Amino acid sequence: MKPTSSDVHDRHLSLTLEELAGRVNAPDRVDAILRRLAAAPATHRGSPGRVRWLAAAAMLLGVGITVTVALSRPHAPARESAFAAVPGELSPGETAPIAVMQEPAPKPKPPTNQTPDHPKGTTPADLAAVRSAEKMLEQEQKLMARLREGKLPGVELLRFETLAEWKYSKGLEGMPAPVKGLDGQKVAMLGFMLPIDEVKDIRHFLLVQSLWSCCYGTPPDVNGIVRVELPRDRPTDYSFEPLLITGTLRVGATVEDGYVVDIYQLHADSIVVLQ
Amino acid sequence: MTSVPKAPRNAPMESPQPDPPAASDLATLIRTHQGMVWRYLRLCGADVHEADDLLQDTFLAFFTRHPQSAELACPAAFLRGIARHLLLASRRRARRAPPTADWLAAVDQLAAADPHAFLDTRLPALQDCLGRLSDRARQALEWHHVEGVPRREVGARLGLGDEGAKSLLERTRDLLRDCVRRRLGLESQP
Repeated sequence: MKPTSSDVHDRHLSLTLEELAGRVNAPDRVDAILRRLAAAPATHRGSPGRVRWLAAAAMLLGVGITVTVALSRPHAPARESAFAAVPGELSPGETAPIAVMQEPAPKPKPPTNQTPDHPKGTTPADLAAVRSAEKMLEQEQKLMARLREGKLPGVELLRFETLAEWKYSKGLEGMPAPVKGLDGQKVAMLGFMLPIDEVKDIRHFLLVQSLWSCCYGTPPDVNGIVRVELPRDRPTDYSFEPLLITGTLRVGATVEDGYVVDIYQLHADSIVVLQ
Repeated sequence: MTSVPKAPRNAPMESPQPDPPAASDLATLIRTHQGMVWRYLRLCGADVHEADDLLQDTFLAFFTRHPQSAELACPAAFLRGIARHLLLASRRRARRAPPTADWLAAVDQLAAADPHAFLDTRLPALQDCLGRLSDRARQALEWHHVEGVPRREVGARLGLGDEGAKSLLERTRDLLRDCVRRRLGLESQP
């Protein structure tokens, strides 16, 4: 039933009388708000998209640290992957879900916990963070080397440079026609996973060109991010490695709370972890 | 496709935003409007704790998303807009029923018609006007509006039928509303 102005006035009177009777009091939150403003200005600056991005970056850092610590353990057992292992070469248009391209695993590095030249007062968490950053750079270099060496035969890649080589302002404004024309196309993309909400049973995540930039450098703009959507019945777990994802690209602004949070969505048919 | 030059990856982020307002300005602005935002949220349907949380989030969003917001001459409507938006977003995240669009529209109509609707200044005016009511009318208001006693029960306590209680409450509310408006200078004294 549609409320009348009388209903609203009655409720308003009830609330005001409750306050007058001392049942509830309007809170004084000046100090709390100023404290929160001073303590965490960065997490509140910008649009929800930026906040979401920073939250994802923070989550990734945590995951990265965990992974790095795990990898740096001597004689650590082989890491289990949530992706089903499917050996063999990748063929273009392959729709077999969630495969791992088998390659000899790199020799584990010796643990660096005892490196003597760390600054005084360095904590294990500091060391883990440094190793996480180093690992990110290492993975990016590996990916670039693969691209240079052409080790992805038969796969026509859609590059982030193509998606991001226009100045983003708002929604799809200013998007070049060739980029708009990618809507509905089958594409393959290389990049890194940036979890949004979860690290297990992931159903969607952000694909970015560089992990380093997300956590230590300048985050990409909205047109430098691709939201990857997985089939509901085929979630995956977090992977630190470069990913080759094939699927259908959608071009359209996703608006949350009045803000554009992404403009490219890749509905994945397959994900290959490039180990 | 035009190529746009990009900033180096690790270039420091530029800061095009103006200097933030001083904390004392922010404190004054919060102090002035926090009651209004909280009452507005309550009338929109937020419970006490929800309104408290959203009140803080509203000011955080206000200051951080709009760096010059502290300089706005009349930020009240702006703040209410943010608060309403946050309430809806919060309900959506929590999978709780949001207030209806009709209810929110009616609340905004009230805010537009009565600039004192959510201000602290309304409380002393209402207090004063309550003191001018008869004991019977004031008691009926308190039972019904504060304690939530059903109208029929109010009538029974006062020896009135349901219609009698309804009439008494309506007359009392009208008296109160006119009195408050006069006190706040919204209408000329008769």
